[in-house]
Amino acid sequence: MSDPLLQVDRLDAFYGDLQVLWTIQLGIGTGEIAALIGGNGAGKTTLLRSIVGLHRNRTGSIRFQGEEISSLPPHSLIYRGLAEVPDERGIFPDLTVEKNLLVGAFSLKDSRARREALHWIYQVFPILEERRSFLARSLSGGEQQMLALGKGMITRPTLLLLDEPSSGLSPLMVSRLMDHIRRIHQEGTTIFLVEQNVRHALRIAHQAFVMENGRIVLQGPADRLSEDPRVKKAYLGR
Amino acid sequence: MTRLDLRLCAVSLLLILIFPLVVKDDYLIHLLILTALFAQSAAYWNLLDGYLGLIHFGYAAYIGIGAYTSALSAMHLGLPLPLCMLLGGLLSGILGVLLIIPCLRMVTFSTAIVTLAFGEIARIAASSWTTLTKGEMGLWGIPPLFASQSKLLFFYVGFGLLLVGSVLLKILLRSRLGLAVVAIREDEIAAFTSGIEINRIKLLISGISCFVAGVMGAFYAHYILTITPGLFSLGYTIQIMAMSMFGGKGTFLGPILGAFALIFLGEGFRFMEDYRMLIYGLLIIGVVMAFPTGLVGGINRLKKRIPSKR
Amino acid sequence: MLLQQIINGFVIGAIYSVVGVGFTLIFGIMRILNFAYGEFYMLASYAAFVAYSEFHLPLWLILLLTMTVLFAIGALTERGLVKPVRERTADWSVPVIMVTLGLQIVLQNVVLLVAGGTYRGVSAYLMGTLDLEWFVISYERLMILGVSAGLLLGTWLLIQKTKLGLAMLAVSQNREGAVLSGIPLQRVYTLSFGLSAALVAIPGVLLMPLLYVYPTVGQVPIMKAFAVTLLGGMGNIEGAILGGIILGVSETMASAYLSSLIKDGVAFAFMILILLFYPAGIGPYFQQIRQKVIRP
Repeated sequence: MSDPLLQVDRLDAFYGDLQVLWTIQLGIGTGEIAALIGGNGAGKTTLLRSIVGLHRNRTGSIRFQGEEISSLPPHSLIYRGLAEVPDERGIFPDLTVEKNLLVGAFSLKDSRARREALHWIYQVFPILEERRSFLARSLSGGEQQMLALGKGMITRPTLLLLDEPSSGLSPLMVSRLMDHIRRIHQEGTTIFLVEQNVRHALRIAHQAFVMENGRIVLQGPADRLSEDPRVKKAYLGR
Repeated sequence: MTRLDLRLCAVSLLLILIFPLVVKDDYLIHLLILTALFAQSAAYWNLLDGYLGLIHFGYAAYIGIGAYTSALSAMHLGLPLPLCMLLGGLLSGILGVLLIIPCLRMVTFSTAIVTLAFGEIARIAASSWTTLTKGEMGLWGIPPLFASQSKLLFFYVGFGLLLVGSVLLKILLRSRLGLAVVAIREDEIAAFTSGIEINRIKLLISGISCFVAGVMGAFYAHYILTITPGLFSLGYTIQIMAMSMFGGKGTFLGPILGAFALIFLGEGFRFMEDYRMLIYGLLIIGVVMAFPTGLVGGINRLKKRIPSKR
Repeated sequence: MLLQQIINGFVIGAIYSVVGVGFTLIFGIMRILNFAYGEFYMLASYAAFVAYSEFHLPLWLILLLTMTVLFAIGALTERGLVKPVRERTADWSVPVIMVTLGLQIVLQNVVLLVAGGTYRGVSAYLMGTLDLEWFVISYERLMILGVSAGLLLGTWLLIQKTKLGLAMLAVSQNREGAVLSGIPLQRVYTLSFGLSAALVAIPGVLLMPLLYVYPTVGQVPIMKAFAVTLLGGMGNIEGAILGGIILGVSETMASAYLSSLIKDGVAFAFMILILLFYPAGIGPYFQQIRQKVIRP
């Protein structure tokens, strides 16, 4: 088995003196969709923020494509092919849809590359092209999520982290969202998906991790996990 | 309150009591009286901004309103001075509440401008309404709180006010009201859904905070015996803000420490004459870099390093 | 007569806009109030005075030089003073504001010690007036209006049309979203600080004959900057441009038709009135209108 794309070893994270993540150990392989599930307050968002370096009060090793990234500044990661759509979407409310996407493409080499990337995203999400001159704040919840996704994937990152993309979306929009995630995956991006919507997450993922109280308590192939009685009881309501 | 804190309080109380009896330097005593005034103002500004999160850039205006109200009632209505001071506080408190009413539905920064504008308008009013306030020439001949020449009594009353004000503040902060105040600052929406009546609390705290400012202004008037519209200026508000931020915004002792620190840092270098303010500025930069969270934050950090005695 | 006042109002309003834009820029991007802002103005005024009366440099060169020098000073301030504070604590807004307060005191007093407190000034850069049928305007005022308008246009173009401008907008609206897109925060902060100082340098040069030069001259512009920033909406560039004009015109009107003593008060009262109807400042309202035009 080849080296994992993302390897997290012995990650501890703190808020001041309070420890919130305990010895996190996980690996994500190239080309797969990995899901991280767990209840509120389990530490999922803190884990993602620790990986990208937005949360810096942590120890342990984080390797991406073999390179240690834990001491790198967060803005440099996208240049290495690591992008995140944070749980608050990371979009700019008073910029137009088009400008939002152009910011997403900031790390691309020149304006031609950015225009091409923009064109590609408009193909994937035609609605965004329709709304290109609208301010992001005037979009509906589902459209904003689409914009966030578009902004996150416009550089065709090697690894895309998604923090609870389904939050605030209606069931119909959630399945559309999952279709979009599959599409991103087909285009060649590895996905690490953090989700509260366990059913959908496990359905779409290859590998899954379950987090509780700052630790990973269960991991394995997603289909096996969705049959696991503990998972079924706690998260799938059966 | 820990044992150490209680002991510190007792020591400080003792110091305050005997200080003016031992030290005969009139100027130093005068400085301390002003410091007590500023400290209390900073503490109650801090209640409004640091604890509640309501930015107020016109705070000094309430000091001015209290000063002029008290002075004028004493001079023209002949009322006993404590009553005048109370009136000063009341008028300030009422105006404070009135000003905040339109601000309730505004965004935070809009409150900042409205309060700033109010402060400026108040200053200009004080300056132009010459028939009442004697304008820029200043209002002089204010009846003093104590007839004697000695500053002793002013010292004790000044620090007494500071003490009483601080105790009341502490009680308020410990109460349910205090919890609600901090809750509003942290997350207004969450506080609202918990059943906290945000608007009522904002108005109440504004009233309290401005009332105290008014009383302090009145005390100032009957101590210094001459007041000018400069009392309303933004400069004083900024000084009070700075004291609060310097000592630690949103902490209890912060504003008081900050007031003492800034005033005495400023004075301490008086001997350097022309270089005094320059050193003052450099010191502010230095201290902020060393203690970015204010003096209180810095002290807390140092405390952590000291192993506790079991 | 009315037209005359409006024209005069526009001239001073354009200056207010420039002053306001520089200040609101830093607030939007770094969420701080730069209390040393007025001192940047003061330094520019002194530089202009020396350049004009000692070295007799032409005005355009003075403008260019002071802008450059002040850009450097602003950038250095961010790097040397703000950055260390930013890196020492997560919630750095308040400590940085305090540091700028300290810097203000230092700058004022250094200049006081070096140059003394006497008021200095020159009569005017340009002489003569343009005498039209409907109004009169001195060439000096015309020049001030022209330069300020050009500067505002240039700034607007920078923000709206360049990659740096886009980065600045992004940082001011969602810091994390900007970082995740690869925008280097440090560089944006430094450049913005420099730009802010360079912007306020222009009024410093242009108004030197009018306001004179002395160590505390910076107190006036910072008050206006505050007012314009709040009026236009904190961090809102277009709002600041509009706000400056509105403030300038209303002040001039008040001074002409009421009393020059209370003109500051009237301007403030007017601002409160506007805020009562547009609580978020006029900038967002303006944005709303523009959106309605694009998508009726």
